Amino acid sequence: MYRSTVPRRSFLRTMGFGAAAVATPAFVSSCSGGESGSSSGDVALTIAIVSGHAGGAEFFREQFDNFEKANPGISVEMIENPPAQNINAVELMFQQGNPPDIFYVNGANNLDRLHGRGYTAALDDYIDDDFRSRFPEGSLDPLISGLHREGGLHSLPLVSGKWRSGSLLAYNQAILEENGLDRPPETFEELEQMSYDITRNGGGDYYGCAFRQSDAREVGFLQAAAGPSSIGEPSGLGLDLTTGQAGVSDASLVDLVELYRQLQTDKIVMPGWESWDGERVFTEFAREKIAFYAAAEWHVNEIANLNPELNFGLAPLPVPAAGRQGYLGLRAAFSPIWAMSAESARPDEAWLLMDFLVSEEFQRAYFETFRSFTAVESVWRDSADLSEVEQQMITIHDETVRRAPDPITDGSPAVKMLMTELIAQPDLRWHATSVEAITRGEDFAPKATALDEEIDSFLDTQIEQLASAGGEITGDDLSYPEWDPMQDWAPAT
Amino acid sequence: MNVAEVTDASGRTAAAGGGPARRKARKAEKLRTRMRKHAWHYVFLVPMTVLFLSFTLWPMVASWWYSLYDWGGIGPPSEWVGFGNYQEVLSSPAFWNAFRISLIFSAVAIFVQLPLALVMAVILNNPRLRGRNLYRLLIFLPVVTTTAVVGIVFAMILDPAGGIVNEVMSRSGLIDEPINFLGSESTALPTLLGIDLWKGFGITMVYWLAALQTVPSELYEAARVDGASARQTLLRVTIPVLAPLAIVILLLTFQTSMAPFDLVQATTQGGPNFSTDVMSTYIYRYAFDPSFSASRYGFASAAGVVFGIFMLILTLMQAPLLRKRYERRGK
Repeated sequence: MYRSTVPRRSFLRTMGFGAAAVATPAFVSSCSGGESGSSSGDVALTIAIVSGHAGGAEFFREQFDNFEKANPGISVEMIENPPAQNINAVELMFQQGNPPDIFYVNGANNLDRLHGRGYTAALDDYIDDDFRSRFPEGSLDPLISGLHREGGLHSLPLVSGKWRSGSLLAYNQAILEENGLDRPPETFEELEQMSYDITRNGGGDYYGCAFRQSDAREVGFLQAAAGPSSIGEPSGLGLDLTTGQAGVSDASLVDLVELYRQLQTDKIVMPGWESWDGERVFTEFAREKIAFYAAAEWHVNEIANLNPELNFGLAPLPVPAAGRQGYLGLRAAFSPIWAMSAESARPDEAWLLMDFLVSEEFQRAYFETFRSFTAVESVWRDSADLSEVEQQMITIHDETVRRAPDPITDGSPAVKMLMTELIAQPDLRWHATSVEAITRGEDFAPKATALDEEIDSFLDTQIEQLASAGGEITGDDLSYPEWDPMQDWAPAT
Repeated sequence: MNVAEVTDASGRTAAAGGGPARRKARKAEKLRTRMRKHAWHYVFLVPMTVLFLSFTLWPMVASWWYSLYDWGGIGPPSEWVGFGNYQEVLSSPAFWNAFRISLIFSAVAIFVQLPLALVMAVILNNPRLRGRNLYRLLIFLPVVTTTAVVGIVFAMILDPAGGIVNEVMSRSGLIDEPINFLGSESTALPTLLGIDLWKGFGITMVYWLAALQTVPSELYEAARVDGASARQTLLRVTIPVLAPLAIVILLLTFQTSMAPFDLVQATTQGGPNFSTDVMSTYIYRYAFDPSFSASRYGFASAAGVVFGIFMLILTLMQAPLLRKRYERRGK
């Protein structure tokens, strides 16, 4: 039998080579991303991006090439992360001592976390009145912007807050005409009646209305016209910020759930929505199976792409027949997207790139490529090639969205912690409770009252714990008695 | 045994001859010799060991550790909650609902899929059956089809508004109104169980086919000479020989059937009203679901650990069966 014997020295030598082989690239890689520039004195910036659109990476590369041309001596290395892994990837880069100069934070919660870790740089020293003038007036107020943390500007936006927070009624013109209707519903009562008529006339070929997805969240969007928008807002927390208490049992929400329960019981709503993901509804709408539904802004481009021939329009969401009682709430002027690393070795150059990302040039290119309403509003408000539906969207947003308070945007650190704890409780969202009532044909009111009790009890316990741990928080911190849901909310100065 | 003690210069005593120190030295020398002899083997083991430690052991141990923290998944966990997450998991009705539905998936796999696949394997193992390879291929095809695609296709064909199944049934007068297969609490779970059974059937059948190849042909020969009928051959020859392997197949089927994440996520996302929520979708909802925006990795880890422990217990309960079968076979 053959027996291999390896001398100890030879074995150690082999292991040593192996270790060196593993360590060298890591060492080289860790060095290469560290200090700026090459021997020529050029500055190399890294930016971690997420591309939410097809062709997004190519778009960003092209824009960074333009930036490089305009800023000789600065080169931009782009790292693209998948959306779901982005924050972990950025976090890892920091932990490995090789953070990007600029990164994509995508959302208030992520900014909270990265800011809490000390990874984001305050940008206040870089901005001036000229910079502020690019954005809607007052939108960079620390208590409104959604970009500030502890009073400092820690992020910059990509798109308008309205692009993400509003909702529109998309309607199929041909189906309405076929049913003798010359306009979409303007009140809840019309929505109900038209839905019954259209579904019954359709005979299964098309339906009057449909839910947006399996959590029936559009009930909340409609609720905003009947009461304080914080009750029905999309995350489903169900808080009435005029009182600081849970508000799921408020009539503005209960009546709407009951309306949809009746539509579901009578088989008026397009069936199958109970298992729909977020994309199914606009696919069905593009297939001309739905007369109208509460669409998200980003659905509009998707519908047009899926069926360019579709004759559809956009209208404000219906309101109660007795008149509007509130507006869709814009809880922060912007959603935080770009942040600059607090550990950047070349902050001045990094700022130039940050500034470029909210420049008119970049924002116009973004709007023209993806047709998303950007944070710099002038590029789309003044655009000469707006389509009819885009013009409708702008009008509807201006008409139906108002600033609303949000403890996550303007609360103290303890209040933000409280809200994070509440958000992390899926069992306390009203969405699941309303779907249960709608699909099972059960009364929503008692379920809503029970849920309110659970939410209030949870909040009381959490507030007590946070206060006893030294947090600056009381039950009143969730209450904004001065907020009038019919007006743009302005923080007390 | 001759044990002599000697005293060295520093006054310490050490065993001489066959004493413990000598034996220790001999042992160490033996170990060194063995290390030298197998040095290359150890070198080749390094990549596997590193991968095992990094991607199997570490995530497992880390999840135990994370489960003791209130941690959102970003940065090192810092808020220690001890067994708080476990208490919350064990008192959560949603957890037990998901656990129950996972067990239902498992029960269907074990009590329906397993025996049906055996029957099919026995049929397709018959050398006289023409085109048996084609049948095997057709039955195995769903296994290699991407589950997300399966989910989308089934969502389309079972659609209550224009799906082909409802169309055919209503045109042939079988139903008055469309069945909401995936959207109704009463039908969603049975529908998913059916799809899961269809998708996993091929792999279980292949396990059985492989097991059937281990039955010596001489036994069949002897049975035929003795005049055994087909039924007697199956019951007295095939099944007893297959029994030890059957327990392994049972274990494999049980393990895979408990986590039908991709199918559920692609079709119902656990709905409607959590009627198809399984453990993996439950854990996903707390750990990764972007619609919740605030992840609870610590809580999700605790749910994963609790589920893992129950799985281990259920798996270990099958171990005595396995041991008994092997012992009987040994005799």
